[in-house]
Amino acid sequence: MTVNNSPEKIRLRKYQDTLRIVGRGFILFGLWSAVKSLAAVFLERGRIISQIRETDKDIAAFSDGQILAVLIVITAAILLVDLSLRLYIGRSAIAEGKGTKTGVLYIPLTAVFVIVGFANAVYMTCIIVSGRAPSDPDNGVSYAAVIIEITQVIMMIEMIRAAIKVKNNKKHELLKEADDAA
Amino acid sequence: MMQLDFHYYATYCAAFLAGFTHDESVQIAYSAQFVDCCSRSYLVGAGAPLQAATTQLQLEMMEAPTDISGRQDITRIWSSFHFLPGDLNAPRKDRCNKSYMQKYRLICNVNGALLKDTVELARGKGLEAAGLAMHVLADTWAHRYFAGTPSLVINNTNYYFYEIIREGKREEEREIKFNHNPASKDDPEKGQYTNSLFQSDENSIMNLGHGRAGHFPDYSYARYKYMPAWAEYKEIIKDNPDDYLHAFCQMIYALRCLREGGMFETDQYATDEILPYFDTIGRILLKRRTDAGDDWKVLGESMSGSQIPDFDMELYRSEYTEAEPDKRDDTPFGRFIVAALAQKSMVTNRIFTSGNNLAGVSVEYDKKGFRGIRDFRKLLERNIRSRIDDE
Repeated sequence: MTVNNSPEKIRLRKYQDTLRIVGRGFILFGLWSAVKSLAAVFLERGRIISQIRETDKDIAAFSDGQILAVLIVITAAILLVDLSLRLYIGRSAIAEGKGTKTGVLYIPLTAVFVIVGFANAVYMTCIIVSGRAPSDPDNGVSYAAVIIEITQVIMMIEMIRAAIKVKNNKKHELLKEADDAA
Repeated sequence: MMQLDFHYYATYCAAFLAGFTHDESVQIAYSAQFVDCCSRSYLVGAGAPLQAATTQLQLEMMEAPTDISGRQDITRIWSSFHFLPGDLNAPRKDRCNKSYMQKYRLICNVNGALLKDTVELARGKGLEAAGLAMHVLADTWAHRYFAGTPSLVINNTNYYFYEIIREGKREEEREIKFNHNPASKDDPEKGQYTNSLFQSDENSIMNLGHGRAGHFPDYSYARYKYMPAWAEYKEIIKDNPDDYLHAFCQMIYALRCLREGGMFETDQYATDEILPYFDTIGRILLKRRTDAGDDWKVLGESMSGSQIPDFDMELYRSEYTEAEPDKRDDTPFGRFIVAALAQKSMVTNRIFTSGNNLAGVSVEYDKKGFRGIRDFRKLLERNIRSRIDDE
């Protein structure tokens, strides 16, 4: 058995390693978001319920408990969708990194997350730049949140880049095999 | 570290094939294996200089400080005796800072300039020094590509670790998933192996030497493929049967040089001597088990016709402790201690003079006057005595 340390092979290993690491990171960020969101709902429930009551007078008949239950259900549903997508994307990236067969759907899905994340980062940056207090609970913005959002965007861009490189490499190898067979 | 099967029994065989008598070969082999036993705890018990430690027990390593001086102490021991640097002047890599390069230059490899210095340092210093040098030599083959300093960016391995199993002309790659339970034993048949736990701290003791590759470097049958952290996604195939055979032949050559007087040169191997035993040695090296001591012992005894005693690390301790203080250096254990101090001093000096401070500061005591650790005064006094005798 001989080593294969051609520049192409080395680059491929690097991209595959990136996919494995970033895929895991993407899932962990999703878990963190879920925990953060649920924690925010529980800890800020009083303020959120008052805001809901101020904006929507029709729900005056409902108790705080009922509103909270609906809030939790809706939040959980959204988080479930978000987490499911993240798990799918993360696991696909890891599988791609391991060299097992995967589809391509996770790449455009990641692109959607990139756009949303980028928009969110811009929005949060504008709030900070406009002079409104970043720690004002009405903003839901903090310096840490901006940095984390930017980190996620960079991570997702790296994932897309690595995934495309790995897929192109696979296609190139298949074509080479076909040429050799012919 | 390489194990008793190679350091003791195989070194005995090499010494005998190099022309030493049975008793001399036992002495050399004992000293070679003793490098893996001479810890600070042992030296404390023997009342011997602590700087002569050639290894560290797990408990000692757990308690060892990992500040700069602690790391230098660890590096001095492991680089001097188990991970001899292959090239202290390796060319600088792109986009690598000085700190990284200092660690990179400590990577153990075979046939380096330090190996020649190690063997030549043992010349005329007795069988104990020869045995110590053989341990260092053998470990350069087993432990190549790892460094004797705690470093994640050099010594780490990852999921890309495959054992290559050869059956006839067919080769199969088996992915290795290590477990981290230090109490569980490796099982080559089931492909179950342990390694040290991943620690993200660059200077963690878990990142010393080949811990992240488990005991693979110490198994003579093992062939494996992995990506060391320093290799920047290049894979390396480690062929232990081939490396161990080279180690064995190089030991015969080195011991013959020490015995007969020829200058030791790197990349030279005594192959003629092993021809009558080539098949047997091949079978021993290729057999899939974690300890080949029994087979090496049988081979050694068949070579010499004499029984090789079992290794007993307490064999020479009482002779040392009961001797008069000024006569201790003339006992086997005393001579081993002097050899260990000399080896450590030499390697530390080479590392320091290459511009690398990972092993600490080294003072050339015979040029600049003695300063530093009291234990090393022993080497200075011996040098002075030796010069007086020559005059």
